[in-house]
Amino acid sequence: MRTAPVTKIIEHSVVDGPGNRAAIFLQGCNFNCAYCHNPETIDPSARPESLSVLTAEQVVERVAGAVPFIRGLTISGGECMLHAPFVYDVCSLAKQRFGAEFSCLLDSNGSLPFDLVLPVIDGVLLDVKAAGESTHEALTGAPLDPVLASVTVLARAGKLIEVRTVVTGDGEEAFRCIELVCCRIREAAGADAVGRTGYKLIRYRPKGVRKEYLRNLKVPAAPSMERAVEHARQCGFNPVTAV
Amino acid sequence: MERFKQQRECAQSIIKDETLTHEQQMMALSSVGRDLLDLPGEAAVKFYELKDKGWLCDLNEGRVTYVPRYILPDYRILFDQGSEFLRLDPPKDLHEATMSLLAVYHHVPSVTHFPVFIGQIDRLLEPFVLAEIEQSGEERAYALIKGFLRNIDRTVTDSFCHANIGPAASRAGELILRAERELQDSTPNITLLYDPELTSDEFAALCADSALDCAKPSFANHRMFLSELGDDYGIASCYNGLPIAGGAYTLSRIILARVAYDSANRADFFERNLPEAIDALLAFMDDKIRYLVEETPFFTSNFLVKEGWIKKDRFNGLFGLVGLAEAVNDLLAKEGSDARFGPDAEANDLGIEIMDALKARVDAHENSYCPFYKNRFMLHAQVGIDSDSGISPGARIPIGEEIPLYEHLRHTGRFHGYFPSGAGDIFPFEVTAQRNPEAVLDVFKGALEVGVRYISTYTSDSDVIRITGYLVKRSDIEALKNKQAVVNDTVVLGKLSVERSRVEERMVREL
Repeated sequence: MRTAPVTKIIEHSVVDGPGNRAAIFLQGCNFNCAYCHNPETIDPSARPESLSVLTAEQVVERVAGAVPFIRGLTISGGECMLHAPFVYDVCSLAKQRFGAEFSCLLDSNGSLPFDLVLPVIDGVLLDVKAAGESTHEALTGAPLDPVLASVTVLARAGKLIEVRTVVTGDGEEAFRCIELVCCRIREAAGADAVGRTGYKLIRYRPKGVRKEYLRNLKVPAAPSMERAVEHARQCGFNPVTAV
Repeated sequence: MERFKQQRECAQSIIKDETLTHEQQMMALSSVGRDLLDLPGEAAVKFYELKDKGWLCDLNEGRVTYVPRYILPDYRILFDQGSEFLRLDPPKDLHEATMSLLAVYHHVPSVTHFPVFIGQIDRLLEPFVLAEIEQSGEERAYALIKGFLRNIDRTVTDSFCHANIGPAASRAGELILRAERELQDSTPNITLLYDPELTSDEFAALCADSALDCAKPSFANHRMFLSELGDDYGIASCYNGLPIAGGAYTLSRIILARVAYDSANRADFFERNLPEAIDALLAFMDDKIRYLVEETPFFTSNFLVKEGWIKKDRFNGLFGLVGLAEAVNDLLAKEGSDARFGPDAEANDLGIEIMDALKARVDAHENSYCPFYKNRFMLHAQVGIDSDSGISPGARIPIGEEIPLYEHLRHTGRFHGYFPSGAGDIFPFEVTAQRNPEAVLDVFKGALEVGVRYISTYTSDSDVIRITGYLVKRSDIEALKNKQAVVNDTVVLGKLSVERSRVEERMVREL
């Protein structure tokens, strides 16, 4: 039976997709983002105290305790797609047990292909961290192209629920991300598809960020946030939220 | 003579109390007069004996009931035929409709002398709201609705006044919510009759958002109430489900905790004290109802009866209870068990056993003045009164002993089915829940599925908060503490409950 290192399961989350959801966090990430606020979840071989290695059945059993008070589950990380077969198992088991209406979402950085899991998930909350190839590499240590390919695949499948970008400094990079993602979605699935995609702009906060990265990151001023929000609205994303 | 002397002292203290408004003094004085009357019958003697022991309570109804405790007029009468007695024609527009309703409210009595049910106001007003929007625009309609609600808060100065909205979304419903959020008043209390099949998610989420903002509306399990009371029911007073065009003659209660404290053990409780208390309460209720129907002129002379706003055969007796949790914990402690009502299965099962025994005995009793509910009294999870200390409302888990949210809701759902005339629980959320009211709605939907009858919320920083069933402004409680009179009489109860029942210590849920 397939297992995965589960850092924690939250039985009620209001920030991991629409409505009240169970959130499952898996250990390990293939990005190393400068502004990561829970860097302890990056190392795939690390075993923090809260972690337990669970089977998909065990995860679904835990989630069952929260039904009928939740509308679905969200698998997050780390990067959940490092455990794609496990993600597949959890989502298909959850659908079997709680019905097709029970929504299964992923919170992902989009660097790995979704082919395997696409049939059993309802959508993805996708992080797009930078719009330029070199900026992306510098910020995350990973290439941008696979992320953009995911935007296309998910938009075509009608499963791009929300795009998320952390806004830092003058907000320019976020501004460019919004622009780029908007173009990609239009190309892939037409202008209407933008209106079916949410955009969440996350204000950079230094809390939890590793000391060595703090120096190069700046909290955005209110006008930078507002400008980004306004731009996302103009592009047609719906809903646009700022946190 | 002794009683006369006592009542005279009571009257003296009322007229000298600087924290009472004139209206509050007048109403308090009316109780003094009422309590000089003779008892309605023989059964009262036993009732007062057990009342003195703390087992039973008449919930401020006093020695005789001369008007039904809760009245739910059928306000459609106003719109269909008007009122000859009040010289009101059916209203023609929104202004007339709201003005005429306010006039009618003034004449709807209850145990508090204020109307405890002001109607399904969105349904009543919707055609007029639509016409007003069409003719003069939304802002004019909004101003009229807001003025209507503000007038209710300032003239119906008692929080046991209840309006209903839903189950369907409406423009009137939206304007009512918008006004309440702006007004931040305690009156009227509002309930959404909620059925996920009939209420759109959008409107229900708006209601959840509004509840987090101003503690209104609460959510009633519409399907559950329908199955027990039929289509024509309303939610009155705190959360009482009752037939429209009817109501409740009386609500008296048994304080299970005290019956348990005075019992030597489980057998003594089940076999001797509980039946004795139940029977005394049933007999007292019979006497009160007979007196009200046969010896007072209410059901023959009141215009509400004469004009068809209410019908005697839609009234019922409500058998209330409080302190189930404390009764359970006490009986178990006497057996050396430290199981607690809420977290422990053993205690919860005993709670069910008590409810089953109580229900069987109450159901075995017939009262021919209650044909609506097959000549039976309805059980009611009473919310408690200001003088209760260390006694939890109905079948609630005590404040301070709350269990995790989902477990708590399942527990609540296990008990709510016993109470067709009302049971409710309150789950305050952290302010962050306002970022995702749909999530709160998901929790409420789940609650209905596990059998919860009625659920309320507010947030950690609301000014309007729910005390036990009714609403009070925190700012009014502060004013009263500073010895200032406040317009709403319920603030006194709220202040005492906050002091005695640790309302502010209720567990605030994070989502």
